[in-house]
Amino acid sequence: MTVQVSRRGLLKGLGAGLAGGTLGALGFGGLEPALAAAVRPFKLAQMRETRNTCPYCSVACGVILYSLGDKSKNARSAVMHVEGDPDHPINRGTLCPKGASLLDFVRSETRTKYPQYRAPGATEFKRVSWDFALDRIATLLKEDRDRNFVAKNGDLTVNRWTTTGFLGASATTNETAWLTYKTVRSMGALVFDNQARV
Amino acid sequence: MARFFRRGADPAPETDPPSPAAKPRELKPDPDRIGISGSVPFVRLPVPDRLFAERARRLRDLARQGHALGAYLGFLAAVAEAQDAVQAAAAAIPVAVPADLDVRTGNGMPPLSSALVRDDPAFAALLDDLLARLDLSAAPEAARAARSSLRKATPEDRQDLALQVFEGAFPVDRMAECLFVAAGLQVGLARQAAALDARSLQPVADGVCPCCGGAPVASLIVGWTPADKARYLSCSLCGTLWNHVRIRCTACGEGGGISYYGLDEVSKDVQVETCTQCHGYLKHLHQHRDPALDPVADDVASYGLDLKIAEEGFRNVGLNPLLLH
Repeated sequence: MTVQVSRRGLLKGLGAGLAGGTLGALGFGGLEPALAAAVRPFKLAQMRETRNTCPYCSVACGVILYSLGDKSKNARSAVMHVEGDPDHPINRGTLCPKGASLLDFVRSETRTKYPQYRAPGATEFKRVSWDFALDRIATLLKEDRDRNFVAKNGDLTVNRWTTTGFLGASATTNETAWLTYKTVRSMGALVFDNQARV
Repeated sequence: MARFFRRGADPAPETDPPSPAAKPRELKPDPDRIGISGSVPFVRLPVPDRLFAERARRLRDLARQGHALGAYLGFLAAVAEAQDAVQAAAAAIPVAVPADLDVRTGNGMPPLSSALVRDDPAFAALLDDLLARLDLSAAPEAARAARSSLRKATPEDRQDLALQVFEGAFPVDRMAECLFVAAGLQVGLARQAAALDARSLQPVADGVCPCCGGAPVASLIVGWTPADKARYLSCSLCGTLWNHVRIRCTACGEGGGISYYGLDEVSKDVQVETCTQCHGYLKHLHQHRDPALDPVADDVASYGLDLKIAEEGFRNVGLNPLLLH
């Protein structure tokens, strides 16, 4: 949009702002101070719209999250509305009843926001770090794979691991999906699904 | 669906069961049934018959509401009424097809150009007619003086000024006359744009009208059936509406730093879309909530929002030739 910049630059450069623009030139110059005074007490309200993908199923509908508040000014922003994304080629602004109620999903009190761990025999979950959670998952995967990996079926090499499953999310990009597939399949895991059938 | 609600015996006799050889009916998505379509129309061409008349009505309504700019809105309503009268009088005159149309579209340029001003003798007549029809009885002396000086100017001078307005290079010492020339250009270009084939139009660049290359005046979230809540930009010159993806800056194409600001006490349907990448803003009108919103009229009426957002350090990337500031 260089055209636009030069247009505005030209106007500013020639001092159109000082001349009062169209209002002043046509004899309406007195209205501008009155208007400025009228809007002075009002505060600019900021709203953000953010594209996202509905997390429910593998249709992966586009959604727009409407939030109030300004992240850059240390204010807490809060999602206040969720709508289908009219530009998204999959859903063209529409949402199913589950997707349309995403706002309750976002605000749910029981929403999982961080990893939690319930030790064997314990009655309560306690919050743990991501490092702990990922190490624990990796350890358990390794233990299970070492115990149950099937390399041969008779003479036939099969290299399969059927005792652990993996579930992908709906909002993955092609690249993430490729990486997920490579990671999971290279371990020999056969039980591998996406959100489609949850 | 109608059959679902009908009571009594089923009037439709059972047809023979399909023979096993028959292929199952092909299943195709039919989104039209729920009022959406697989893709939204790229452009909506102006309808000169309605464009100016509806704008005039909107301006009159706004002026009546005790607006701080009421006098100016009333003046613009008189301009829009004259524009409507001019286009109605010219409706019988065939629209000249630009000679370079194929060359321009073949090279990715918008089909309409300043050829309207340079080559079309009808445009000079159109502008003269507009100046004659303007009812400036309630306008300030400066506006009347600008009109008469424009009428006294030579045709070459008027044509020269029209070319400058088309290019967006408004001469600062003739700002008042520019408004009348721009109003004439709007009529001429809207007539030309309406005669184009919408299917042949291609995107030219971000924030550039695919019909005439003009800058947008405002962005509209529309509520039409096949494009509900899609965003269209409204051309400042020819009045064409063209689709632009939402939450993406109309000037620099970035989507990361987009925010919407508005004066909630005044109206929640009029906002500005700001971009922290290029520090530009454009008016953003929620026409799906208030169908009466007109891009040009409500851009002028929401000038207070311009004043407030300019204090935050954003500059206007749109252009409204009826209110340059």
